[in-house]
Amino acid sequence: MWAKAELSLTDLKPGDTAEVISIRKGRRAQMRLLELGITPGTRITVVAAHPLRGPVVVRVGMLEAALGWGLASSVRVRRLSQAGDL
Amino acid sequence: MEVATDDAAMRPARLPRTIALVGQPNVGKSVVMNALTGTKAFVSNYPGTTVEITEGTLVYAGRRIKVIDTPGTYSLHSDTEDQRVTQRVLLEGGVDLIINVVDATNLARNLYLTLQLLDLGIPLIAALNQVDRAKSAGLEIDVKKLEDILGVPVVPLVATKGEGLGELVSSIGRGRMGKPIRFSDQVEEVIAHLEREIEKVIPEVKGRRRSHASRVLAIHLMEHDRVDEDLFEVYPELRTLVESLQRQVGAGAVCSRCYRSCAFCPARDKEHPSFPTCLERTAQARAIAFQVTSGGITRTVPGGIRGRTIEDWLDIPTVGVVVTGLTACFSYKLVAFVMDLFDRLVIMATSPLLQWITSLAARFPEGSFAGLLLTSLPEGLILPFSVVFPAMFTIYMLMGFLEDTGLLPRMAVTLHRLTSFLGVPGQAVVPLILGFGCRAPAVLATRSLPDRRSRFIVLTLLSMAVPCAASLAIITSVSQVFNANLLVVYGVAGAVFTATGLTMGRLLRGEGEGEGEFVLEVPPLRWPSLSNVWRKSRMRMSEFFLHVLPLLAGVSVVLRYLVSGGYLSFLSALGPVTSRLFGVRGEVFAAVAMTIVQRYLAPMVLLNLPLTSREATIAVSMVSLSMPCTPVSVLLVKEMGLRTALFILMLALGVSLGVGLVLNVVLP
Ligand SMILES: Nc1nc2c(ncn2[C@@H]2O[C@H](COP(=O)(O)OP(=O)(O)OP(=O)(O)O)[C@@H](O)[C@H]2O)c(=O)[nH]1
Ligand SMILES: [Mg+2]
Repeated sequence: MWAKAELSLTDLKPGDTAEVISIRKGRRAQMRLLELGITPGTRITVVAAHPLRGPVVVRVGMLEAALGWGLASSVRVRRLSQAGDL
Repeated sequence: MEVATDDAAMRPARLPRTIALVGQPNVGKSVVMNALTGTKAFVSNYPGTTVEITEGTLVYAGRRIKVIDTPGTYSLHSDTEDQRVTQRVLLEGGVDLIINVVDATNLARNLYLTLQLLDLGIPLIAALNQVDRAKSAGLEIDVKKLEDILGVPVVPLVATKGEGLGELVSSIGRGRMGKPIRFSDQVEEVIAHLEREIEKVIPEVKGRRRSHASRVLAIHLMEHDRVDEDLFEVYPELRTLVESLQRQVGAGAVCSRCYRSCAFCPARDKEHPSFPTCLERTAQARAIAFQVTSGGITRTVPGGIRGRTIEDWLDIPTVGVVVTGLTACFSYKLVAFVMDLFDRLVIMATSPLLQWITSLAARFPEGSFAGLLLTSLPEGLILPFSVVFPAMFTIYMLMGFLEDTGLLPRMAVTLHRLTSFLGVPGQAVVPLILGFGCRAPAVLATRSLPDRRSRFIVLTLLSMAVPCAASLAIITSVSQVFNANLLVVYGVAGAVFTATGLTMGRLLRGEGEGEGEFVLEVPPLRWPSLSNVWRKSRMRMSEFFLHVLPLLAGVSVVLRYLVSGGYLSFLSALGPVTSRLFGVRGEVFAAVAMTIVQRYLAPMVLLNLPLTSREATIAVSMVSLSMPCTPVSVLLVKEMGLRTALFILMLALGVSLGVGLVLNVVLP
């Protein structure tokens, strides 16, 4: 059921794993994510979501990266597993 | 490192003359650099440590080889100032071997840059670093296979332990051009088209006019949609080409993505991949990493308490906030404690000596030079050692720990929400914290900020409202001498910092994409190596011995001379004006004005004057907010251009005067 719904990265909870579908932001933002290895198709795990529209921290492989809320909300994802699923 | 190779037969036929260490941020380039050449490049655990090139010499097979350490760069199209430094080094030519330092734990992402470097046609060796961390994560990398796929030597390393460095050095004669990747047919078509256009304007390939293959330039044009001034400097012809292409785009004649009509073009910008080469390169880098890597446990984020690593704990926002707060608190307390301790110790240790000197000075006639020297020189030496030295050293040690643990970027994430009110991303925390040590390296550290607007704001705050260790120490001690209200002094600095940031953040909104674009790599936590922290602190302390100490000692003598000779009495003529405006005497104002020359000298002048506590509070507040020292002003001009630098300096001066005016009205 979760596999179908397209969400924004900011909809995810810490512990959720998802696959990036698209990044709906300008070229510069897309490039900066690409530098960290985040492109459509990348599997990411949410580590933390800071309150008050703070940054979202994600893990890509062994790398950890923080994305500002504005940018995170433009990252469209498909949830693969939810926190506590394992 | 010196490697003896007497055997001439073993000597590689062609050794490079210039080697560049290139790699993504925080992979260990500077560690390799220091090991190869004995330089003292700074090593810290956060991306963006190195922001300038460092040069060193490697002696190998009796030859002296120049080695360049470069700022980490994620790709050849990343556009922060520090990353562009590296791109410029590669663009300008002169490098005949690239040692590409690769982080074995993030192979896919690191190979992206490697694949780009292979396009350049410069011989390359890949140094697969941090294999210790890869191993402990269960990752096994097939070095042989990687060599086959890339077509270049791959040397596994644990740079921090020195493992593999010998092999790296002995392979520098074996650099290869490697096997650059091919893109999909559609993309190759676009590249070929651009190549033809480029060859039309710059025909010679290996001649004086073009040292890069047209393919690299074509890819470069596709990946930089901003006008790339660095490229145009080397190839002015390309400016004309790009301008004409963009005119055609403007007229709707060709597509803005590929500068012609390609297979994607009917759909134009919508379906057209905006950076097809980048996406395909990412996919290929990932495929290669997948082929050569086996094992590896994917870390999940645990829900419960058990099984959480320190990293997991620190990632929790509330924990981050608490740790950041505690760190700030602890640092403040520690610096205050050490300053106090040293003050007592130094005074205790030197008081017999001082008494003796005073009695000696009394034997010389009043106003004689020897007498003057004997009274003023010790003063000029005690302050630096009892106050400035301990403050600087403690701050540098603290900074070293923060840098090496990996806490610094975590603080940046935690504070991002706050700094975004100032119109700057969380990374701004790094230069601002460095500024508490010395502003000069902090100014350079702003190069890793994503846009000019954030740099402008951070540099303004840094120049005006962040006291460096030397200023902080002197300000504090002068305040204590005259019983000035430190709360007012710090409060005013804090208020000015906040107000300036908020105002600039608001006024400059929209000029960059700012907040929405915050992206920051968070490095792994590491145990700080005491020797590295110590080494860095010592290197940073050289500033104290080179500048602070001689200046304070020298100025102390000169001032005593001027004051005792009555040469400053003309300043009291200013008295009526300055006391009306700022509530301070003419001499005091002159001291404040000295900040234009050197910030931490001003309080020294104050020390030689009889001040009331109110005067001292106002004067110290004004001093602590004025312009930065001369070397920093020079750096500001270099980094931001004369106009911006002047603006920042004038603003700082204005704010300082404004604060004086306001305090004079407000203070009882
Ligand atoms: N475990 C481990 N850590 C390493 C190794 N090499 C470097 N490090 C650590 O990685 C961090 C970054 O090292 P630097 O040499 O400053 O990295 P850099 O590539 O110069 O980084 P930038 O200048 O920011 O681009 C430091 O904390 C080093 O101690 C290694 O082989 N193993
Ligand atoms: Mg470095």
